[in-house]
Amino acid sequence: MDLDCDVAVLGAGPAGLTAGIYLARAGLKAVLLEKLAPGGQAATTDVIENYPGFQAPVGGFRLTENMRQQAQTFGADIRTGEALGIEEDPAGGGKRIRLKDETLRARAVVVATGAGYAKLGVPGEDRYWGKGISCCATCDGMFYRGKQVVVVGGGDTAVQEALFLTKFARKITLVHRRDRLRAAKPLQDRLRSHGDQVAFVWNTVVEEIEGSAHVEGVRLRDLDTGETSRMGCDGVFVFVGFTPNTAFLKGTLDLDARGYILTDETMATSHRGIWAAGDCRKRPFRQVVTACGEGAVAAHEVDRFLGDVVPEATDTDFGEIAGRGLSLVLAWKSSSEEAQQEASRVESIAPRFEGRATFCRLNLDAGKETAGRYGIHSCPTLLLLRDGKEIKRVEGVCSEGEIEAVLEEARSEGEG
Amino acid sequence: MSENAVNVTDENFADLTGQGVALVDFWAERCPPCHVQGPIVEKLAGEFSGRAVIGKLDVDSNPRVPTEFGLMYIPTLIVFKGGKEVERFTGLTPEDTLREILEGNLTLV
Repeated sequence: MDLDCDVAVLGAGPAGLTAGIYLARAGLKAVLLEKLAPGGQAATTDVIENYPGFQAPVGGFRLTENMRQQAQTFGADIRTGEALGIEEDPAGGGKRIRLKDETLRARAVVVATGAGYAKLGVPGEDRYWGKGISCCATCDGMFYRGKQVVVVGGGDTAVQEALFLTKFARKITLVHRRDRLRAAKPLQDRLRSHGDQVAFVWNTVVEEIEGSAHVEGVRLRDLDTGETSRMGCDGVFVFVGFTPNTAFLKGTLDLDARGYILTDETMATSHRGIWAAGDCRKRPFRQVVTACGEGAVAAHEVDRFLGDVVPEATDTDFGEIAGRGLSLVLAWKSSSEEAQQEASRVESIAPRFEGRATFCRLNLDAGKETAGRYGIHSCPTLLLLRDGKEIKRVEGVCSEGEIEAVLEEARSEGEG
Repeated sequence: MSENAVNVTDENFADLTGQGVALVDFWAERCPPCHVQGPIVEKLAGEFSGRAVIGKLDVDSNPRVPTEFGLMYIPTLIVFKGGKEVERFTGLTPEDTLREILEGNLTLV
């Protein structure tokens, strides 16, 4: 696939699917790139009780299947693939998404790659994954009937999964690095009500997972005393949080210390033309409903961005907008009626030069530094730039024909 | 949902995996990731129809084979060639990965 689209949505979980619904419905060609299967982490959630609109608990898979079908009905194109990097498209002002053997070109990108279950990162974990280590009690609980298991974690998920395990395991030991659980009180109470079947080890971490063909025990370290000890067990269930799937964006977008994408409330990232939504971004509360909300906001912002044929440039982003290739800058002031009229003429011409020139407006009252740099004093002024360097300037009012002529001349000179 | 993938059981397992190339997806009803893996396996079953046996084994109804293979984690997908296990995937596995392994084993003499 070497494909062109309006918007590339990376990830088809709830955030990506919602963005797909909104973008496709707005008439944009949206390609959703999914590494595994549509639905994301929500699809592997057994039951969701608190998704608004579903009074009776709904299966995670069913909920996300509905979203997928809705997105596809509106025309979103869901494809299998993994994004390895995002670059500027040298050809025409959009972005290039690098896959293993293919390239996807888009005018805008929404990153919705979500987060995966965090691992402990201790010796033995990779070796014994699937051979006594698990992160899904509903999936694997039955393999530990009558056996001893260790559950690592202290949040809602750890306690919920431990509760599920009480149906199978003979003994469950919950190992947590703090001295109290973070989980909701009702869940904690329910777990404690299982008496001797459940034991708690506080201020302790798992240092190593040991065994022969399968897991046989864990080495624990007490964080207070520094002492280590060994606990025999048949299985280890790991619920220590999530890691965002953003490794491929290091160096492209601003991320926080744990890898979550930093955005503002419009889901805009540090890079113009790229938005982020869902679990992959830094957010205060990770839920399916907030992921969907963010997907919709991102889609709305992208729609506005793409519809803005002559965007307003500021001193900060002038270089990004007008610094590459052929650019037409209209210098204007809000007080100038002539400049406003000139702006509408530029707006009608802009689509005819899509991919061959970029357009922007520079407000002389706001972008003083840029105006000063190019020595713009009158308004309206049309400034033609090639890679940020002035090649032509027209002061005063121009007709549509004159503006087009100037652009055509510059374009053919550039190609000749 | 099972249209293309064969229903593998404790009884027919040996026959189905005994010769040629086979992929068995071990799953259970109450395993949510297994439901996500399912459609991927179905798609491959359609693609490899006539060339490889692609099937699903419900571990709740068929306890013998999972025990034989020391299964402690689902979804697990095992690829067989001439009755021998040649590859095992633990956890949700992308279709490209599975396709590559199947093609690879089909072209090897």
